[in-house]
Amino acid sequence: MVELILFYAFAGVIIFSAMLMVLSRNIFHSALFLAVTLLGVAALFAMMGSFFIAGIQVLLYIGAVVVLTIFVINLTKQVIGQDAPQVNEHVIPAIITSLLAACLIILAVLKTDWGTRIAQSVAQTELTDNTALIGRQLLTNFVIPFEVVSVLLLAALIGAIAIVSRDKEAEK
Amino acid sequence: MDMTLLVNEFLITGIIVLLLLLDFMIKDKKEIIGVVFSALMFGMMLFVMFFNRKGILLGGAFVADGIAWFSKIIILAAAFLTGLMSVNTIKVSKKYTAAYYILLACSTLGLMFLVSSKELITLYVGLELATISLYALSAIYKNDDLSLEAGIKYIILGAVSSGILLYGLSLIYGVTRTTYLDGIMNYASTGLINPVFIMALIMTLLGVGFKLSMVPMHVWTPDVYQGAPTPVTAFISVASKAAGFVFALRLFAYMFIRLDYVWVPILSIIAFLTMTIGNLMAIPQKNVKRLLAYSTISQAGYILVGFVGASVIGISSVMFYLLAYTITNIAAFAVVAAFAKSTGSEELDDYAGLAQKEPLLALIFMFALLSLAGIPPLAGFVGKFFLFYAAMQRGYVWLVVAGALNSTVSLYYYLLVLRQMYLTDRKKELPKVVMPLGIKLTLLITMIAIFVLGLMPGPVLDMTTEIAQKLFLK
Repeated sequence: MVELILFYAFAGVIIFSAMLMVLSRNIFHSALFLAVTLLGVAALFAMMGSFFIAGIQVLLYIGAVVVLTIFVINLTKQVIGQDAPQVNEHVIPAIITSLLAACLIILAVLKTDWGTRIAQSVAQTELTDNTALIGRQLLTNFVIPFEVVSVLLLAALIGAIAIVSRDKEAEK
Repeated sequence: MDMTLLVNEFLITGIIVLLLLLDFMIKDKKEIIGVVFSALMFGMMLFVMFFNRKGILLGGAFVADGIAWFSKIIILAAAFLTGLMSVNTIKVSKKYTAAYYILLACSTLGLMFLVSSKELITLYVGLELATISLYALSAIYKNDDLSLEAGIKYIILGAVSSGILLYGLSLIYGVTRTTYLDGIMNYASTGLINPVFIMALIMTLLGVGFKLSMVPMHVWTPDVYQGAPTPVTAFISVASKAAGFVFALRLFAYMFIRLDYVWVPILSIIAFLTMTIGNLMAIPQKNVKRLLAYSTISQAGYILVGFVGASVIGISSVMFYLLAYTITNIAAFAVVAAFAKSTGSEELDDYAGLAQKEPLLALIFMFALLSLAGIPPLAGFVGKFFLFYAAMQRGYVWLVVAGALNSTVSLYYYLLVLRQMYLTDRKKELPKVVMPLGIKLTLLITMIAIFVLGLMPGPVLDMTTEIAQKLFLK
């Protein structure tokens, strides 16, 4: 019962701060609300016993991604201004399509038999040694994506440097 | 565990490192990096062709089967020809020439993982590696506003579509509790179909549809194709699309085969819309790259017709058409790259009177466009014929009629280009088109391939049919 209340509380925080992130006029506030959203997701992970994923969520998403975003906002303040207009010209069609999509998803989720009992037993076995299991899986069954991600980071680095850095030769 | 199955991917990773080292060693003549890249990709293509190892790794997460083999050849051929085309035409400064080829190699690596994996996480990571490299490549002309616009549009719309795809894939995992395609196929075959599973299927279709630029996820295509460097456009339009279609084949023609009553009707309507909207939007275009962009949208529509078709012959015809389409499209974009390099223009009006000045270039462009339209002795005709034949087998006569009508419409705007080149007089004087060796080789290879595939499709068709049959044998 306590678990259920906690779940709905965190879910509420996530939805509320996500909406504030989208609707807020100040892009800096948006970044802070993003941090709150991600923190809520981390709490949900922790509730499900995935403490490792929860820790990674806090470290990477809040510690790195949001901090980087705030850095970028501060560094480009002169260029775009603090209160860059974030108004969508197609507000009403956007609301209608989003609501329809949301209704569809909620309906589909409610009508599905998720086999909750099996899920609980799986969660309980994993609760005991979750982190070790993730580590073992990453280096055995999922070793290919694990290694490919490192090439992906290299490609992203090279791409970012090639686009962003100043190029005196080409400016001539 | 047979690690030698991964040898192609290891070698490409080695090539990436080698290119990084070459960048340190070569100070001035950066074109050499392009030549080395193309030569290595050609070598890899031959290696994959002749050392055809089959097998399964990591409990079915990574497979080396016929489809993976055939599409790796297409991807490496596209990478090789793109490299060849780039050597003398790209306008990247010396400092970043190596970055251009390294990103191209990274994208090739991602696409190769994508076509070989039968597990959702591996598929997704391969897809991301391929597209993130392409985002950077589209924006690599950083002093050109159009290129930057292409990059930002590609990355934002691409991220949204990746998000939808990932949501769909995670729902599939949530319902089936496995990420292996074989396991999901078993689940889909039990007949216990949840509404969420159907929704996840549609979300996956939408996410993959972005990569294939199928309507209504096509809006990014013209802007990105126009703004990106021409060789990159060629690579996006062939290699990334070919791998996307293989991804779609694995998901729909294999994993969801028992759910075909859900996706075949959806896909047939999307195929119709993609063909028609692509063709109709192409007619008023004044920029050659935009025209080719809309033409590739309609080509994706024709390939989707093959998906709708009966399973074995459908897969076989899709694989064959991907090969024919790859070489034809590369030929067309190589002509555009050569023309833009010398004259600095991509406008259709400037192609006026090209046939008198450069008869050979105009002739090659004509063959490429006629092959795209599907005129008999060329590769495009055979490909299209089998796509429509596959759809006929399943009784989709209306779709085949629509496809035939669409081919007529497409012939109209291809002929508009030909009229510009052959019948219109030159309005202003443009510099002579100089064809660098790289472009000459690209055009020579693609022309030979277009005629060989068009006149003697038999051996390749037998090969693709065998591949398609083996997919369903256990």
